[in-house]
Amino acid sequence: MKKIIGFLKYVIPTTLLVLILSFLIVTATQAATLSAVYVFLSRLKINLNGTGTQAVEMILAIDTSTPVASGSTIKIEFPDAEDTRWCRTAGALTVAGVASSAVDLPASNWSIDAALPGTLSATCTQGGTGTVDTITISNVGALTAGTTYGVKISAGTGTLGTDSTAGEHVLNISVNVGGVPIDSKSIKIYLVNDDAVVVSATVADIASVSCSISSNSVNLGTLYPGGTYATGSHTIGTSTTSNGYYWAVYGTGDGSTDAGLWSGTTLIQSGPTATLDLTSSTVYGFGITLSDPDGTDPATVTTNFVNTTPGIFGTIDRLYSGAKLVLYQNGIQASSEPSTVTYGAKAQPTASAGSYTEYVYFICGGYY
Amino acid sequence: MKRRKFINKIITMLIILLPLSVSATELNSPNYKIVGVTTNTGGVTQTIDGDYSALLEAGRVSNNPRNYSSTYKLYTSPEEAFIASVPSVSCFETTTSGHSDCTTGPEELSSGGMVAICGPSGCYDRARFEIGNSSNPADTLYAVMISTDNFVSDIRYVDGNTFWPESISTHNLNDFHTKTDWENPDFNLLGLQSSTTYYIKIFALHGDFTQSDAGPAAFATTSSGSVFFDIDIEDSSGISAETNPPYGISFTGDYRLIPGSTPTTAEDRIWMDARTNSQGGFAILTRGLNGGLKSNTTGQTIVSATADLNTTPDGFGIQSEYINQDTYPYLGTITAMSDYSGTGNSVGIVGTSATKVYESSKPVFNGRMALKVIAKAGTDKVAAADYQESIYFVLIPRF
Repeated sequence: MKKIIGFLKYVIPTTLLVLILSFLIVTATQAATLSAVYVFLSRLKINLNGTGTQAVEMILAIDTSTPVASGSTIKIEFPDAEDTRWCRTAGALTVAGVASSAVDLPASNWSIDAALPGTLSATCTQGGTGTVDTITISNVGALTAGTTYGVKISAGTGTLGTDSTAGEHVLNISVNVGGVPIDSKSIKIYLVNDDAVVVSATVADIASVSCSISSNSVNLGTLYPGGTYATGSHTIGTSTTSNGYYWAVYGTGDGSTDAGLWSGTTLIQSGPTATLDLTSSTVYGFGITLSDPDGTDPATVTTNFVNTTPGIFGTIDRLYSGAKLVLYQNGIQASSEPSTVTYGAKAQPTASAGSYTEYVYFICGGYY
Repeated sequence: MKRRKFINKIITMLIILLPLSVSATELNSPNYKIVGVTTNTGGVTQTIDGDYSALLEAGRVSNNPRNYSSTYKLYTSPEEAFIASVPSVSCFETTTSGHSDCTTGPEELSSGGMVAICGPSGCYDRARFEIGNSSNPADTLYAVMISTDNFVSDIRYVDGNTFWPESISTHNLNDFHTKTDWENPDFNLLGLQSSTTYYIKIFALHGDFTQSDAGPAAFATTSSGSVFFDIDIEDSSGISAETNPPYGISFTGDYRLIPGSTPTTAEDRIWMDARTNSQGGFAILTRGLNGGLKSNTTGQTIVSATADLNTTPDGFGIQSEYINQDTYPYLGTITAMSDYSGTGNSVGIVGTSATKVYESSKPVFNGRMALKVIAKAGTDKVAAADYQESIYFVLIPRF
């Protein structure tokens, strides 16, 4: 018995010594590099404070080169000179595995294969002297080398922000067992002074044109066959938010041959010529003139219908197919502007007595 | 007495430990044989003893000054004739730019250095070395030892299958390759840490028990990684424009949106610069604050969607107009995702969830991209001057 005890006195310390040496050999082993990593930050703007519209969240994709048993921790460590910038408020973070992300590169190690397993929890700790801002994900399940896992981290009681300096920032990502890094990789991300483009737009009103006719009937009075010409008038008004407007007119006449005043048996026609000089003793017929709404451009009365020479009227034709442009404007007309439409008529000597009527149709529209 | 006991105890422990170290260094066997070796020239038949010959001069002339002078010289042991010549590292590179000492790698490496095959700032997780064979025959095998502290305490080998560093315990004959096989991959050191100086030494082996001493160490430092991202706002001619934030795009004046009219393309473009040496390239993603152009005055939103705005009554989105990068055949090219690479008035969504707009699957030098912003107001949209959206962009390198 004494011999056994004596023997054990040597064997036990020796065994312990061997074990300690073995442990030192293991701990001296260099951490392998992670096969693939990306950190998908939701914002790249500098100096985000982590609250409200400045909240920051991230998705970590990680593929170890070494199989890792359940119970490991994953750390994301930020530069020492940037303490308290990334971990704006220390505390628990919201963490959940994700099975994919928009950053995934199909058919590569940078494509998430599975959500990070485990009963995950995460904390954000702020750095100080000799320490750095660190996100620690704990209770990670077993990891298979060659499988890329995804995990999303966002604010909880702890909040994430960004550093105040634009440019490259080094993040060290590691998978640890018992506090010892098994796999790790240092990567870089890039912060910019501003990551947003503000797009502003003015939506204009739908372009429109407003048209008015002051009266729907004009009485030219009594025309005497072979006598002088008679006139009557009303106004038209126009405004538009489009790029301009136009007026066109056509008549009905006798329903078959020409526009003009029609009694049912006799037509005082508008005639085949472009204009009628009703001051001439030999000229009879029916026509119209318009006044220029603004006296200058942009509103324009077409040449045959200007009212600058008394007694000269432009002739009109029948039907929509015979409509003639009488007034137009190239440009917006914010407020309504009027134009006086004057009708002139002179009965030929053979005209029979009776009531004469012409229906003159006005078409108003906009240029869009 | 106590002291003697303690000394006895230590001696006993060492005796117990002794077999461990002996078994670790036991190299000899009474039955070994040397096969497949090549001797150096110079061996002569020794006949003065009459009955036998010996390879007395098969060894090399000793380099030890104590073993030779102007009047005599000693040869090393004949065993030395079977030992492979000590190889050297003819190049070991990670971040060379514009030149390279490596001669058997890809053409881009020879002309542009490692940055031409790894991207800006060189390689952060890989390297290339080549072997100076010291006149060893072509079928000589080599193994590579690697360390981050010049072999003080970190001593590993390079796995001959994965080309990653491996521990001594897993080092075996499979980690020996010929010079050709080692140099065939463009990168023959993988799995390295960034910003780290690595030292390598090479051993040669030409037949059993002929492994040479390690050659001289060579070292190289890996890149710390590299990434750059920038936004500029300029019209379609702004290929080289650089502008400062805040960044704005407007649909006003002649570019105002008229309900029911055809889609309008904003005059300015969103230009972006991108470069990285990340081996997985990068992704540029976008998302919007509102998911469309929103007016606080009217409460209406011109909703963003992936669509052809010619055939939809209303919409808003972005379309890639320009992509370019420096031409390095070995590196990556940037591509626009299909939703954003349409023509005419086909646009990709700027939704409230991030979507990928551009991508490269490899490192990229001096990438430049431009996006059009196109919008169309439907006839249901009420006039207002405060329709707005904040579009966020992020560049994610994949290391």
